[in-house]
Amino acid sequence: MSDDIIWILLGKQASGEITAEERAALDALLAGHPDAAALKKLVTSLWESPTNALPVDPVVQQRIWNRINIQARHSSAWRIPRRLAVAAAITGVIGWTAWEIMMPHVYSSRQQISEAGAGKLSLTLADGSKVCLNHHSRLTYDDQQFGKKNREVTLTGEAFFEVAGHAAHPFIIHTSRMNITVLGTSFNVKAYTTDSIISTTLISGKIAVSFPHQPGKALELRPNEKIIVPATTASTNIVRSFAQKDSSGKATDLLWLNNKLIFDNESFATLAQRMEQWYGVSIHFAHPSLMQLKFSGIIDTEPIEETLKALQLSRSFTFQVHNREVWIDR
Amino acid sequence: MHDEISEWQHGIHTGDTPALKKLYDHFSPSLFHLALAIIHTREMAEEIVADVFIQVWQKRKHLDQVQNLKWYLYATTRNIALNYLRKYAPHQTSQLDDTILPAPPAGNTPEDLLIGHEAMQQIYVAINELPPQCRLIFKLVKEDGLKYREVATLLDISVKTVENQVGIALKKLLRIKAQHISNPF
Repeated sequence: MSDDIIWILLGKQASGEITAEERAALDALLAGHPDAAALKKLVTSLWESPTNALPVDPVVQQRIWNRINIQARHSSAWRIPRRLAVAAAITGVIGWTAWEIMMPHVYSSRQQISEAGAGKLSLTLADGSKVCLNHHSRLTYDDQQFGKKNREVTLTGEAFFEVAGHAAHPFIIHTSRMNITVLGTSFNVKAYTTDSIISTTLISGKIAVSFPHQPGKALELRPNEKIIVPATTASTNIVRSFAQKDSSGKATDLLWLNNKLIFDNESFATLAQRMEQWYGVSIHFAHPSLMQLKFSGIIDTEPIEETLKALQLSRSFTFQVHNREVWIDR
Repeated sequence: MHDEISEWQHGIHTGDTPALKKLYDHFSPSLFHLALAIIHTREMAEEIVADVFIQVWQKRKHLDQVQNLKWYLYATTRNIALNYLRKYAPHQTSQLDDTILPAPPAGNTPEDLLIGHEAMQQIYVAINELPPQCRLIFKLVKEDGLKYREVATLLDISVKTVENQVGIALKKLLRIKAQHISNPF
């Protein structure tokens, strides 16, 4: 017991917390011990030696700084108007097959479905929130509950939301692998289904992302951050990164709003997936090697034949379009 | 040290980002471990530390009114971490015991002159073997120079506990070194 008291008092002495009374007590306890002076000196030496008791991985330290730095540069460059400060944008992509399994084509009578076909669809929800649905996208919600008991919607495809302020209920978007709680007012969700990942990109404001397959896990996104999760349930790997921007500083995840499909050194395989979403077609390759071709460009409002002709200018291939089927050959 | 912090504080107040980086480099490891001790999730601890410095930057116009910036950083970290804990109520019960110490410095560094190189090596090993809470308290007191009272507030423990833990840390760390001294205790 007296042993512990000695160490406590030595600690207080080294850290400068010791009182005059305690100092006297320590001296009394140490009195008569031949090594008292050596022990005191040892404690002082340890106290003055750098011990680095709890280091942090430099990679982690850099990662945290990157996040801070983006915010610091963001807010020092210009003042964000209050209205914009709560605007958010999200994109997400989920596997089409997975979606079809999870959402059978049976809906309750109260389920409202808004579906954009080959074009885009703008709608206003009961709470005043505005939604712009991209090609082949579907928004479902409970007509009886929405705006009254909750503000929850389920999305497949891609949409831009302008969420009306509503103190009573948060606006929640469900996708197969990610739930997004909106703490701000305007954002973009992409939840197309042929891709292998779901991603969320926040442009400004604040959103919280949770994961139905990982209860208890939640992340708050800050502007210009992106979260990517695999669409398969097998993996729980969550990647946090920064939003990609084009040369004009606009987030590439928002370019669809301007009716543009932008690709930069993208393989024909992934470009074909995006063109399938864009045009609502199926694209087939006669030879796997064709899928490795790389393209850069912008698709605007051209029909698919025009786009494929433009792609032929940079790489050699042939194509045939029948109804909604596209065949690519050498 | 205190002068440097005042200098950075003034720099940040006037909108100087390099000053923010210097403040970050100096304090982030400690704040990270404080956040980790509360939240037990590395990912969230990273977010908390980012939030702290983002908040410092966003409130830089009023930073000149902060009396003790060092304490402000620790207290803000604690408050944000507790907010996260309440918000997400994680069920994790993991302890902060997965910290890997870097290799101790080699050669005749100044500290080797105070305590021999070999003894210092042993102390590094011993630090790694301290119980997590004991190690954190020892670090906050010895390396970060916080008062016992401040550490008690941050970790929501009594000053007595801080006293005991610092004593235990010293005892364990120096037992190795003190072995060859005829130790009467």
